[in-house]
Amino acid sequence: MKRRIAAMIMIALLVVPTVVLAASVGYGARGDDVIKIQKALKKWGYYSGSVDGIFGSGTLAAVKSFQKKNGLKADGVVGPATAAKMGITLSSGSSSGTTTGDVYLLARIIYGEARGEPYKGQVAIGAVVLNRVKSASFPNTIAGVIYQRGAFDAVSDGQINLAPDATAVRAARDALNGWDPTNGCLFYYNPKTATSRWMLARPVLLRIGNHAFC
Amino acid sequence: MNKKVKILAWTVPALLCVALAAAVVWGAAQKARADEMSALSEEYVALYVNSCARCAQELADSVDAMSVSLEKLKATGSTAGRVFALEDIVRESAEAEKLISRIPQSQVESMELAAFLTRIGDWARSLSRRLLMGEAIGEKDTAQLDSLIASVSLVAERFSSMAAEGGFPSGTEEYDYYDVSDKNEEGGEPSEPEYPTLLYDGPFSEAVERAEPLGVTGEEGSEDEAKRKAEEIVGAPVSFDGRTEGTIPTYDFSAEGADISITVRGLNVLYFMKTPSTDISGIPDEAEYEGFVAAGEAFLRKLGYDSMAPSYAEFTDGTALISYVWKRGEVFVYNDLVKVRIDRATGEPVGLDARNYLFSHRERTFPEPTLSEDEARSAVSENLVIESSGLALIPVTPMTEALCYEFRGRCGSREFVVYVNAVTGREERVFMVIEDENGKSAV
Repeated sequence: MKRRIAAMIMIALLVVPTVVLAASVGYGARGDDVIKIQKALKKWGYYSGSVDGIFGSGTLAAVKSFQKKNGLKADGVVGPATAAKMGITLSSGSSSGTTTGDVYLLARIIYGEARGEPYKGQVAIGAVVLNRVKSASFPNTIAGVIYQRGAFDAVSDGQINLAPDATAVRAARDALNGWDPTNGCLFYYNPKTATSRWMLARPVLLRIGNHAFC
Repeated sequence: MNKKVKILAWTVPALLCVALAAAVVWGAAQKARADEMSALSEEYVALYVNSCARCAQELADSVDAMSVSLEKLKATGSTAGRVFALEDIVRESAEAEKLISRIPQSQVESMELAAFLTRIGDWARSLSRRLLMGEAIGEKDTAQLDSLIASVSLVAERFSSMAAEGGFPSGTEEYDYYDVSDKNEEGGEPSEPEYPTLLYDGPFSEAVERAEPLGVTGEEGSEDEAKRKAEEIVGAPVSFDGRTEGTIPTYDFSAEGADISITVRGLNVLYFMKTPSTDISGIPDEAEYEGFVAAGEAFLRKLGYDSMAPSYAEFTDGTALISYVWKRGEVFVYNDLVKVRIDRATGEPVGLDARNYLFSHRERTFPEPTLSEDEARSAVSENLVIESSGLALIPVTPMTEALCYEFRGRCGSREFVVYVNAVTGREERVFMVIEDENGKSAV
């Protein structure tokens, strides 16, 4: 038992907030800016890896070679000058920084909980999180809802820390834009694995893929 | 003895010795690592248990403080004094709400209490706003305050003794987030509400939770009719996925890469979402943008929305997402909002969200402005350089709307939209327009 708690706390401590506030993006960064950079590099033929939103060694090498070819200092850090040459604008540093963080956090819970589910089912997970934020009975921030202890399996087992794919990011954005396929649901469960009698007694409003929403 | 055998006779034991030594070194390293990990684990457990204890104590303290502030509010005679007390209540409620969700316990069990603690702050904010707008405290408010004082002092007492006697969970117990005691097991909600209902107008109020979709009218349609409508919009055969119950019951259909929900009553499109054909990003030029706006308007006309005007737009994931608001004469009605998504490569509609419109659209009586635009202008901060203006019906609280003059302008490098009530002359809302690579939005 003790070990389980310890493991849980360690995971909690390893979760580093993903809001990037610096006006430049470099090795180790994650988020929408990195996705933008990877897409631009891919478009210009410098990068052949996956557009996963993680600034790893592949992205680093691609940025360096882009900078070298374009007469920039090849430091592997995408600042305003490199971003301008790539034809992109970084959201970091501007006032939309927190919004980017919300999209990415929501995308991670969607990916952790529902990758492999139909697209609508992925948006639905984001919608349930946002319905909880709006509800008086739950914490009033996205992070508060997601990290409430025991609320989501993907948080308890660390899957929330996987890098989300482009689909999950798009689903997060759709949910934030107001798409709610669940019609206001606050809960969902997998009927094959759920055990909570309270949950199973609630009226189900709809089913999408492996999840029942209530 | 054979030479080969001789070599083997000493190399085999030697190799075994080396292997043994390596195993011992490796084992010792593993042992040290395990010790380190277990020391670390103990440290983390202690850290967590302490943070739970801190939460419990702070929760008890904040509810206790809230109880005092409520009593003070009752004994205060001046508006300024009341607003100060209400501000304290707002802060204490936010604190308590945050802490209760961190106590390691079944959140399903404490949902009702969490909602009550949140609503006290929401109620206080709404009352404080009314007092600042010149309203007097009424009999209903006093009655509400009395019932609040009674139930908050009970919660405060319970928490104080729990904190003193170690009644809060310490963090080492195993528990299930979705677990409930036997009394709450059937059907979710307990039958007797433990806390008083707060009647007020705020974002977390029960009135908002129970709001009816005013724009969903007309007869119930059949699944077949809904399917025909869905296929017309998706432009391909769709299959029926089932009905969604809830506030706006819908028939749900899907096709490859497309989902659509049609309301059971009135057969309106609630949602339509199709995978875009491109991932073009960045803000388009004016001519391209006008094309998207026209495409969106044509789509809305086809669905029966006649008088819609574009407001904000966002450009992500290969689409232009344009918000259209209902326009009655010269007045923009911001609550009656429909979002349309246009594919940037094909110019085709690939999405629609009419939830806001279907919740709020209805026949309204519009007040006549009693102020001229110039008179209203004097209520706007002199720091704002006004660039354009118009009339709009905006939500001032979740349940009420007001006719306002809308002034768009700049304060330094920032763009703002300021709303001045066209009847009372009061400055109702101030929004800052945020512009990023995805477009503009107001916060």
